[in-house]
Amino acid sequence: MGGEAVTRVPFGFGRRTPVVTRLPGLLLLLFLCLLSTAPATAQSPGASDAGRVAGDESADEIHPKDRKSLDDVIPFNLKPYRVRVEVSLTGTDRGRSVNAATVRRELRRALHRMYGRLWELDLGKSDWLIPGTVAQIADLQKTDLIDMRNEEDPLIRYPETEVDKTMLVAVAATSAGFEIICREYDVRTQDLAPARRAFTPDARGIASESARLIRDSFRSYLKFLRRYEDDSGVAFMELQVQGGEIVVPDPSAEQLRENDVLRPFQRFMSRTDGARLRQLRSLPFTYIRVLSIDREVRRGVATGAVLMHGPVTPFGMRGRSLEQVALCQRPTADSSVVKLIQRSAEERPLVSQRVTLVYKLRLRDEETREQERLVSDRNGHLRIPLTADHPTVWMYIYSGRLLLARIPYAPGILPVDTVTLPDDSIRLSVEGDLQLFRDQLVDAVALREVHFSLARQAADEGRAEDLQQHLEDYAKIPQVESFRKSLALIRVEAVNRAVEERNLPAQRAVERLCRGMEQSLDVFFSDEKRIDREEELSTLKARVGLPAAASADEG
Amino acid sequence: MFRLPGMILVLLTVVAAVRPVALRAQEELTLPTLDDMERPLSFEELMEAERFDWVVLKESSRVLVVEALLPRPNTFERLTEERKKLESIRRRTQDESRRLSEVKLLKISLLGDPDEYQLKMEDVENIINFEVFMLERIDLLLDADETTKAFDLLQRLDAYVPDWEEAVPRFNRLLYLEATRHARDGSPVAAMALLEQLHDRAPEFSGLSDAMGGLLSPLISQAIDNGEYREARWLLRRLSRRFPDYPMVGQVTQRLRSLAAAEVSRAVELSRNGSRREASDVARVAGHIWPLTGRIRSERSEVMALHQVVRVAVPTLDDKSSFPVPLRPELRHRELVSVPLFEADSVNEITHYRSAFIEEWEPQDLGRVVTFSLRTNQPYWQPQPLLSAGQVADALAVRLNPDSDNFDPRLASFVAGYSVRSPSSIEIRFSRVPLNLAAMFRFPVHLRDMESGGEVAALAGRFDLVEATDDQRLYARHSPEPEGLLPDQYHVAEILEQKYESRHLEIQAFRRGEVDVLPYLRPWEADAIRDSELGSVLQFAAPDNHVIVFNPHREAVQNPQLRRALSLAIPREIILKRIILQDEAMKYGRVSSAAWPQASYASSPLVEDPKFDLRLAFALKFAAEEQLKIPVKQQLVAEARAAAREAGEDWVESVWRAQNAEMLREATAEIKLPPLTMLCDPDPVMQEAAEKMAEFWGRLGLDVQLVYPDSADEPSTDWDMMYRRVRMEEPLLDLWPVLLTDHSLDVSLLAGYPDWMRQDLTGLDYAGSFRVARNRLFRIERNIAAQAFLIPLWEVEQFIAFRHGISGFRERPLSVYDDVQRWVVKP
Repeated sequence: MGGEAVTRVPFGFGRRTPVVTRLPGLLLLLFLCLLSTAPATAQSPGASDAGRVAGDESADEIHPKDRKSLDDVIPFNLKPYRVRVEVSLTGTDRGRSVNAATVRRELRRALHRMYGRLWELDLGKSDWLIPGTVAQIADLQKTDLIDMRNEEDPLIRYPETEVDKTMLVAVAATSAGFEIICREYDVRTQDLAPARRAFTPDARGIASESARLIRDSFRSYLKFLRRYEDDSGVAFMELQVQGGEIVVPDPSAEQLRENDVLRPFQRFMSRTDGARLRQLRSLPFTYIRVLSIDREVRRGVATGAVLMHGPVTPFGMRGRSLEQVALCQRPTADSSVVKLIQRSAEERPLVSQRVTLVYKLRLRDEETREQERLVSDRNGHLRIPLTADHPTVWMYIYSGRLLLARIPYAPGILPVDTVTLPDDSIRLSVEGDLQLFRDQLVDAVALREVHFSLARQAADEGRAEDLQQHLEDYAKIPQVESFRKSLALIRVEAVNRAVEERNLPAQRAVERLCRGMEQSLDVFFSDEKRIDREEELSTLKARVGLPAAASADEG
Repeated sequence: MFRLPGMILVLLTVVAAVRPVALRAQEELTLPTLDDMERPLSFEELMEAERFDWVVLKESSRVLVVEALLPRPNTFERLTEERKKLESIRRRTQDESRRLSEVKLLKISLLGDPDEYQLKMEDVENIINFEVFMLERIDLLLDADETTKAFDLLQRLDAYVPDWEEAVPRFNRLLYLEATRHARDGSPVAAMALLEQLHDRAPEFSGLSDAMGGLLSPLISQAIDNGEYREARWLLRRLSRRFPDYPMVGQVTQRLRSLAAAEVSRAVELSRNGSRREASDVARVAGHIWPLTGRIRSERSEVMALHQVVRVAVPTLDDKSSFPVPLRPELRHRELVSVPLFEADSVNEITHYRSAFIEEWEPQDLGRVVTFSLRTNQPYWQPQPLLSAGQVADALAVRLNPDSDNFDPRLASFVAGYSVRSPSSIEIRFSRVPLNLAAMFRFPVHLRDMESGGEVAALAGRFDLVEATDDQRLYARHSPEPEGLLPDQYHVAEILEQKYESRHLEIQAFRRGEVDVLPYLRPWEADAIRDSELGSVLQFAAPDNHVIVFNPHREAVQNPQLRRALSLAIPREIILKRIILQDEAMKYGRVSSAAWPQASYASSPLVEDPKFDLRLAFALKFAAEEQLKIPVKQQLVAEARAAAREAGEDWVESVWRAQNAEMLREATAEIKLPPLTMLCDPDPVMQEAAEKMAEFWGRLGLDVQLVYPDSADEPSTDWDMMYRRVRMEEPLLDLWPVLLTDHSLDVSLLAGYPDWMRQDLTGLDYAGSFRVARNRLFRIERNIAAQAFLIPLWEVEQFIAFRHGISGFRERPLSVYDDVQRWVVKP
């Protein structure tokens, strides 16, 4: 490396600030070419505990600015992942401490056997997560890893110039065996995966179980290529998986499989410094379901269907300095808990909300399984089960007669999710009011018919007094004006509330509902019906000799 | 009818009444003599015949049988006397002269002859009235001990001549004979009653005191020997009231008095030896032997004060486990054996709460945090133990644990966390501010089973169940009051619930003083018992609301039209007046439009009382039935549509429906509303009301079968409706469990409700202010009334009676054992 020796500052408790020197560009290019073409078996693991494979060490010695140029040079589909694996061991094995060096060595070997050249592995122990217990990792929050709130002194434990993925592994010896936990942190999307756990009763199984957990926790990273529609107008998306051209030695560690679910992100890069992330946007409840993977010509190119809750999704749009990426995330649990909350008052969960799970790929596709009806619990929680062959489902969320939202969801990927829904309470309460109003209307109409029928019977039998009585009862039944006033009251109260809360959609919905009811009133109390009924009543009265002026009907 | 012995002709001057001339001999008839007449008349003839009299003529004592004469009885004597009186007047008035001429003639009608005749009184020797014949027969019957027939005749005689002095001695003799017969037949009480009646009529009746004494003496002795002192006293009282000087009265009185004094002495001795419970029992019995006075009385009172027992008359001890909600026996039991952290203190428009364990609960951080400062000491009369913050935390943990049987999802949705600050202080943090903090913590603290994590027994109860049989439940104070207090500082130590087979026996026991408390007075009994001045009759602070709830799991009652039809067909006011209250003025009850009291803050003034409208109910029932037919009709339409399309024909559904209306009607003719099952509270009055409701539903054509609970192991789920009573302390929190008959607060049970109703119900938990909560409850009340999610019926005031001697109870109790730890029993 000549006089431009690469030095690296060991991990400290605070920020990780690597100091590197520039490497001549030509030499670097040559080195990388060698690296990418070298057989997987050539990457033998180093012997030292904290050591790295030779290639890793070389990679670590690249200056960030050179890394940028490297990114430009090495195609994405040939680019290996820089993976930092941090393993901590706590507790003792029946009184004897576990040999951490042995575990790490075996783990390195196992990971190498799995991923080969796809991973530039940096395996060691964490310098900040001390002692690195299972509980610590389980409770880890994203803000423990990256926190940009303090602009002057942001917390960045793993800069993306150095590492793509971090695997945090903890092994805890218990009286029965060894508890292992692993969480993956994707540096570029700043996304912390849910924990995966395993247990082995034998110390000899620690490395292999840890390797398995790491493999399962690893989330492939993909870049958006294009969006297109087929002849029938169905939209598809193509994405390239990182290092897709690199064949992994272990087929179980394959980066992508059909039916995998991708979670999209948008990375808005700085316009002045293309390597600096300006803004990161995750797109919740937008998924890309992998339908096919090219394993021959364009290796690592996945074609998928995009599932989104809105009419359009920003993912796939054009933009300067915009990186559109996705993580392939597989389920970690057999269900997910989705919390439904109301947008207007975020603290309020939507309790007893009706949700139907619809099993189909896209919104317009045919359903492939019978629907499932759910109701949110007292905390607004819904447990969405993971179903075989259906990595994604659609949640149809209803509010009264209104379909409030259709949201795609991939159960099991995240243990807990939150769906924020618009405030439909005003419209829903008007729906209730109108239901009661309709009941009253139907009652009135039914009673009118009953009294009219009795009046007719009385007239047929010549019972003038009874006829008079029935006509009086008939006249007591609320008339159209009374109903119109009630309806107006319902509308005015609801509209005022909507205006007060500046809820324009609710206001429109209320107007629409009330208008519909007014039309029903017009049908029930049409002029034609009124005139016909008056004529009938006059006829009945004439039949028993009552004066026609004593009309009972007005509506 | 009476017949003449023969057609005997005699000379008689007879003038028909229609001919106003003096009596002249015009016809000759043959009449029997008095000796020829058959006497006495038979019982049957006397019972069946119309009254007649014999007129005995001076002429050979011939007898004319005539229709009943006036005046009577003693017709001849009274007419003769009047005539003599008039004749003795020297200067008679015109009327007197006219009357004299009248009484000199006897107007008669022969049996079967419509004509009226007149006889000169001077020709009449005597007139024998029908009543005399009756007396003759009665005497004969009494001589023959045929008391039943004699009684019948006496009754008839009394109807003819009320309170006739001639009948009185015969009736007295009848009573005596009847009493003798009852005594002989082994019915001494009946005999005694008759003798008492005889005494009331004729105190000087010969041999009465001996008869009464002879009858009662062995009974009294036997009762004393059997320890039935109350009965002995009762018999003795009856004897002494009539015959205070009867020798046995004094003897027995002295014997009972001595016995009572001896028992009191024994009780005092037992008490001194520390056997307070036994001593109290003995002292109580001593009071039954003979009313005590003076020193003995005060000794007895002192012994009983040290161990006071309250006796409560109850109709049942069986909770009828198949009833899905706890009934009165279970509620009483819970009230004694467990004390919630907070309990209602007073009820008016809103309910106020108190806590036996928590001294202070001050909200902080705008209500998001509350610190419970637990009591570290309490008055000596409080029987429940003090709780530590750790125990409260444990109880809270159980209720917040979703895996626990006692998980309270509502509480869990409010509580964000809690921490024990000290042994007597626990801080609770809320994720949302509860509107009524105390109402949410109305749960008892239980012991935890360390293995299962569940709760096994109330850690803090006021009383413990120490003995239970089919007829009794005995509860003892959880923490006895300390020894060495003054007798009047002690409170009730034991509660004995005694079951009685009938309402009559309960009230009788209360009247006799066998029980001290009558907890569930019927509305019509309250005033009567209050007027009897046996004790205090108190009205509960809140009425009971009677409602019909629907089973949320049953498809049959999901139809709102059906529910509304059921509601509209109940004649609430009629049932309330005639069955529930038995009072046309409805003094202690009213028709209700909600499941909570009308006085509650949650009652909307705009919601009218439910209507009774059978016509509308019928229309709604018809609509509900039509809705059942819709799927079948739709299926037929779909098949016809498919066939039409297959055949390439045009399809217009309305046309097809019009053309095939008859076919559609026939295809769905058999579809009827299913029979419904209504579970009913076992209270007999409520059962009667339920039967009346079922009768009215039957008029609509709805088949509602009434089911009464039994003592099955598991609550029944096989019901569509349930007629029950509820008492909501806090409608905001209590509505849900009542509406859905569910204490798990499972929101999935709301699945059958429309979304707007669900939103209103769940929104109750999120009410940020009292005003908002009240408005939501108003809205819910309106919705419930309109869509009959629950059928409110009526609310009925409840009463409890305490005999004199019980004190320390609250003037407006909230429940049967409200403040029971402070009750005092004074003998």
